[in-house]
Amino acid sequence: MGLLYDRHRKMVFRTALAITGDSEAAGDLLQDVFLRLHRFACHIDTRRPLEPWLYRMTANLAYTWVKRHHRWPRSLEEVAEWLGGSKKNTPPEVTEVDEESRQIQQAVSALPLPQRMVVVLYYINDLSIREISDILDVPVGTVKSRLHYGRQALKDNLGMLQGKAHSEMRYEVT
Amino acid sequence: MDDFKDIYLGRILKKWVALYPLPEYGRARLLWVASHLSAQQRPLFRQATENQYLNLRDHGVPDWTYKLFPWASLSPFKVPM
Repeated sequence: MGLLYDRHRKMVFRTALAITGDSEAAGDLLQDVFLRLHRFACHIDTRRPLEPWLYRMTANLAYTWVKRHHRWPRSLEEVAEWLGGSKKNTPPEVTEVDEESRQIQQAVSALPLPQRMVVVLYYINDLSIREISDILDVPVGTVKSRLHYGRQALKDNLGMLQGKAHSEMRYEVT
Repeated sequence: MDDFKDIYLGRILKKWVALYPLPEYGRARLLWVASHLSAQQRPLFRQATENQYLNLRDHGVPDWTYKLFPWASLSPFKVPM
């Protein structure tokens, strides 16, 4: 299992991180996914690729985590930390400059959960519409619709980055 | 959304998640936890091979006990490693 962990840990962690927006939760979910892989190993068809199973399990666990943590009000301690600008959840290298990262995190977290999952699987994991449809067990049309609205929302929320997008891409092409 | 913006959006999202480091000692922690899982949580095929030393049915224990108390065929009768 160590080899499987080494091979797939980045993918699982980054998917969980993008959906939950919480690096600690992503670390816990990373462990959960592989423990379930260990536990249900006899039920998995080893002739087929493992990635779809991992994506599906990661997406489901992250979805459950977000639903659970958005239901209950935050504790007083969490509110105090937030007001005090605690950087507990943010690694030092992220706190320094990255206003852009903060905007991205807020924009992604603002997406409705179904759209967020499709956007994450499409852009961060480079999966096709068909693959996302199989993983999330929703029709292809639904995936396309969620992707369309998710893109639109991100475009609106990240509006100031769009000008930068054009100039950077043109520079690379020429 | 045009292709340039789409590609750029993918790039900035990937760059964003790449900023966060993976958990330290994740592999070691995972292997330790997995090795300490209880008998009921281990893969089922291992349970089947571990029970080969005692079959309670051969000793006249009725079938309904297996359904109600599956643990009865497990821990007390395992051959020590």
